[in-house]
Amino acid sequence: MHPLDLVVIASYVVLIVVVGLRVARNVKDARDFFLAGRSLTWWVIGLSIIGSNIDTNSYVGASGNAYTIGIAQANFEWIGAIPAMILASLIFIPLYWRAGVYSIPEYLGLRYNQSVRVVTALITSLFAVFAMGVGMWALALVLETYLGWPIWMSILISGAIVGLYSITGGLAAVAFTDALQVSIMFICGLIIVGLGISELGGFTNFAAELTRDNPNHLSVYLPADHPQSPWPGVILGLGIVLSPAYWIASQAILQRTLGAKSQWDASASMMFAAFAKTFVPLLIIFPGLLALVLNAPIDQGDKALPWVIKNVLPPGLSGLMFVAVIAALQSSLDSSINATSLMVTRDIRHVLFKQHDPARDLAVGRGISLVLLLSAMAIAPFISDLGGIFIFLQTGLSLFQGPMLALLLMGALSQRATPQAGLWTLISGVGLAAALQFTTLNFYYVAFLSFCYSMSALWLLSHVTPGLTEDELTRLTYRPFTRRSSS
Amino acid sequence: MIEWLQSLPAEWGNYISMLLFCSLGAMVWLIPIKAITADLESPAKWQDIRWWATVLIALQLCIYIAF
Repeated sequence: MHPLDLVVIASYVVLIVVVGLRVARNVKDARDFFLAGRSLTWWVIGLSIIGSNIDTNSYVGASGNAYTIGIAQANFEWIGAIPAMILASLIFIPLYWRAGVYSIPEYLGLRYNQSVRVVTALITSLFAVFAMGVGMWALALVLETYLGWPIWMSILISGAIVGLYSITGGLAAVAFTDALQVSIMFICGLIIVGLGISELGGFTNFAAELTRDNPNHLSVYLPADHPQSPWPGVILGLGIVLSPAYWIASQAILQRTLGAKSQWDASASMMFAAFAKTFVPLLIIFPGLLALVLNAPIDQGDKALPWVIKNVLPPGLSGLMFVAVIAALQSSLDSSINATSLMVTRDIRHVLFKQHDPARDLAVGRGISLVLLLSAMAIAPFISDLGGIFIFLQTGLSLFQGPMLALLLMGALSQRATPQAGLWTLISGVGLAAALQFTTLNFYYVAFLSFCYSMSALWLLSHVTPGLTEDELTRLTYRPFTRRSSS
Repeated sequence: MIEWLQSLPAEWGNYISMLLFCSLGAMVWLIPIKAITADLESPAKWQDIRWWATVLIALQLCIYIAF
C-alpha cells in the first residue's frame, strides 16, 4: 500500500474517534444515549440512515452481484427501498413520534401487548448479533486483503475503534460519525464514476461496451425464470414485503428518526435519505459494471470492487476508497450496537425484570453495548465455517419480516387489530414461514406468502378477540383526517 | 398466481413498478399538510415534504422508463 494511502487511513481513524468522543461529552442520561436527547436535525439523520443501511456486505456483495447480473441489483435501492421510505416518512415516523416511544417493539407493545413487544425485541436482537458478527468478519477479510493483518487482529482493532465512540457517545456519536462516513463514501463513489466514465470515453461508449457481451446488464428487471433475481419475486417479495418491513420496522434505521428535534425533522430525514438512496447504486453498483467493462481478470464478482480500487484509483484516492469501505461497516455496526442495546435494555429488561431501575438505563445500556460488541467479535472468526451465511441471513429475515410487517400495517392503519390476534399472528406467521423454508420456493415468495397469511389471520382473529379502547387507539393509529384534541 | 406471473415478460416489471410509483404519488397528496407540519409554527413552502416525495417519484419513473 502507498504511504499516502496509509496517511489517509490513519487520518480517518483519528477524525472518527475525535468526533465520536467529542459528542460523547454531552451524554448525561439514557435519553441522551439512546435518542441523542432528541436533538438531531434532518440532514444529519438522513445521512446517518444511509450509513446504517450500507454495510460492507452490500458494498462488496452488491458490486459483485452487479458484475454478475447488472443493474437489476439496483432494485434493492429503487423499487426495493424508495416506496417504503416514502411511506415511512409520511405515515409511520409521525405515528411513532407521536406515540413517544424509544423503539419499534415498544410501539408494538403499546398497540398490541407486552408479549408482542418482548417476542419482537428478542427475535430482532438475536438476528442483529449474528448480522454484526457477519459484518465484523467481512471487514476483517477486507483488512486482511489490503493490509495483510490476521483476521483476529482486524476484528480486535476495528471492534475497539467502533466500541470507543459508540459505547461512550450513544446515538448522537453514531449519527454524527455516520454522516461523516457517508460523505466520504459519496465523494469516493463519484470519483470512481467520473474516472471510470472518462477512461472509457463517455457514458455512451461505456453502455455500448457493457451491453455488447451482456445484453441484460442495463435492464432493471430480469426474466421471471432467472434463478437469482426473478422480476415477480423482486416486486412481490422485495418491493411489497421485505423492504417495507425493513424501512418501517428496523430499529437500527428508525432509532435516529426518534432522536430528531421535531416530528418534521424526523419525517424530512427519511425523505432526504430516500434521495440519497436513489444515487447509492453509483457507489455500490457502478464499480461492478466498471470491472466488467474493463475486463478485470477476476474469477468471482465479489472481487470486482477491490480490483477497481487497486487499478482505477490513484494513490491517496484508493486509500480514501478503502476508508469508505471501512466506514460502511463501522456505520452499520455502531447503529446495530446502539439499537440492539436499546431493545435489550428497555424492551426486554423493563418487561421481564419488574425490579429494574430506570435510572440505571444509561449504565446498563453501555454495559449491554459492550457485551453485544464482544459477542459479535467472538462470533466473527467462525462465520466462514457456517457456509452460505448470506443466504442464511436472507432466509432469517424472510422468517419474521412478513408477520412483523402485517402487525405494523394493520396496527397503524386499522383500529380493528387486537392484542391477542397480534400475538397469535406473530407466532403462527413465523411458524408458517419456517415451514415454507422446506419447499423449493425462493425466499422472496416465502416472505410474500407469510405476509399474506399474517394479514388474513390478524384480520380474522381480531373479529373474535377484544381490542383497545378508543382513547388508546387515537394515539396509536394513523388517522390524519380525524380531529385530535391533543395534537 | 406465481406461475402465471412467471409467464410474463420482464418488461411487465417496469410497467408494474411505474404503476406502483404513480399510485404512491397520488396517495402522497391525499395526506393533509397539517399531518406533516404539525409541530412547525409557520411552515415554509419547501418544508412541505409532499413535494420532496413527488420529485423523488418522478426520478424513479425516469429510471424505470430508461432501464
